[in-house]
Amino acid sequence: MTATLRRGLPAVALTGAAAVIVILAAPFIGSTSISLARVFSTTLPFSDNVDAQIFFLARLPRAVAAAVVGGALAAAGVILQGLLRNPLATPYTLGVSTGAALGAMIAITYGAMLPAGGVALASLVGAFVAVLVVYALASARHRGLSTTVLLLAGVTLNAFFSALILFVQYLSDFAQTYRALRWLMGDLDVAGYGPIIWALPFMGAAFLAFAWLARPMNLLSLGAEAAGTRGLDVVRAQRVAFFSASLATGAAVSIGGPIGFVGIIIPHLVRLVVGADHRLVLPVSTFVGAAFLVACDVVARTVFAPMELPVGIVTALIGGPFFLWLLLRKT
Amino acid sequence: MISVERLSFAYRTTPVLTDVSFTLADHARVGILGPNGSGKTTLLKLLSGTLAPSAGRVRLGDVDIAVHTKRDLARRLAVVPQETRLAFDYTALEIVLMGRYPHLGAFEIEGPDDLAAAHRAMDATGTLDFADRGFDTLSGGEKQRVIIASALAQLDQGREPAAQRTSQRAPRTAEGVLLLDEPTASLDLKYQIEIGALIERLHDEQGVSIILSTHDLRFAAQHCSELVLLSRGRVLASGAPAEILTPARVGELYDIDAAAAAPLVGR
Repeated sequence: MTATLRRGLPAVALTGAAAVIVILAAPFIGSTSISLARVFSTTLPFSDNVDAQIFFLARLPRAVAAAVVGGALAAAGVILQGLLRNPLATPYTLGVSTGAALGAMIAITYGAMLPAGGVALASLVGAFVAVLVVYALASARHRGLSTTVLLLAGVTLNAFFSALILFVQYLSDFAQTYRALRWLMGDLDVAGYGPIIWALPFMGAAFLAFAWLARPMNLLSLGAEAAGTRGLDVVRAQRVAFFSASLATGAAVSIGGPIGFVGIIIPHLVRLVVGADHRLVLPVSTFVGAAFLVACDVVARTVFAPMELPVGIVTALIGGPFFLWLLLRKT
Repeated sequence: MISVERLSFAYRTTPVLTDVSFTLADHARVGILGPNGSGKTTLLKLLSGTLAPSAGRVRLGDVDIAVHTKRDLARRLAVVPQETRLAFDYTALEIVLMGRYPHLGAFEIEGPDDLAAAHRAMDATGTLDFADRGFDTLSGGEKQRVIIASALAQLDQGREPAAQRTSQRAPRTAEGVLLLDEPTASLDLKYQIEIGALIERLHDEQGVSIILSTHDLRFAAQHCSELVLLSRGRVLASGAPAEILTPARVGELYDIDAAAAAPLVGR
């Protein structure tokens, strides 16, 4: 174990504990105040305990959703930055979120008959379509994956899908446009644990892949060829990275919409503290991303209470200036 | 021993190497010498298994390198590229430890053996002093030495049993082939001399075979025991530097007058 890795382990434990604390503390903040003693009261039956109901049924699912989405976006950001060897890449660079948005727009506009969760499902399908198109483009005429083509295909697909989104919007009525716009702003107002449980298998598979990818991602930082001569199956690592990051992103977007900036600012901050080793950057980013989005969602819920802000606006207000600072700092 | 048998390679329809054959003895210091565009880098990529030949084969020992698994091959053959640019800023030690990749399982963390191998490699390359510094803060020559250390750590089989250490020869823990692509191309004279000395030391003390590509006649003549002259993708000549570096041949190799080539080979 390297000295940096050993020094970084407390950071993993610390941020993990912080994430759990933030998730459990967040439900206590809100327009209706609830008391700790009453939430965990053993004398009141649950059906009569309003505080416990607010905690477990209204606010905790939302905090957990924020944590799952925030953690997934931050980790997917780390993986895509490693895959593209570009610290400015985000989970949305390769078109996953625009594909998801197109799916959601179509479901909102034409899917009046869809059951609850139909929009989420449609966004997941849209994300997968985008992923497959980008992958097909990047692996055609090329042994393995060309990261250059991957980047170009992602950017182009983002633009093309955005045009299709506008087209669908143009055909929709006012109520649908309003709903679509709200979806695009990113919102964690999940009604219960359903969406989280539904996304869990996707997240589980993605994070299993992330755990394996930590060391291959370190090697890829040297360049694909240098990684190959050190014994890494580069093509396989790139494929696993691309699909697992897309899976996590697609699942996150299906829960909360395309919430921006989490996937770029968190990995950057984390690298400043723990260094470049992905075995640290990945878990710490996951925990910090989770805590960050839970905190942002608390701000979104409370700052203009009783009105709620979409959480995507809060992350963008924090993330935009941060991003600029980052760009200026580099040069 | 590496043997190259009737090796050819083409990028799409453009032939880069045609019918290249030669055999390199164990523990040789081999220079692949040729002008820009002669196919040196492609030949190195074929030797390392990064590219697959269009025809012919490369054998390491008795086995075609295409048959080796990537990890197997990586433990016996390490590459030092011309230049390394990192996507993220790792420390020198972290870079060296990346050389241990083919020795570790999928979820395994570097153990004491791997740290010892990294330490040996950094000791041999004089990079221990800046083990914890960021790679991007190092000079060109220091970076090159760190990458060489990473390659040495990769070839280190971790065999340093105390019992065998007392046997006839000094311990040779790093066995295998070190491939260096134009190791001096982006370095000034001071670092060129330093890298040349380092390569000879690694060869003599660590027991690794060296194969390097260069277009620097002086460097090749000084540091290599065998040369392969490559011209337009074909082998022009191969053998000991003193025998094959004649004014006429160097003139032909670089497409210059033999008279102009004479002082370059000291005649």
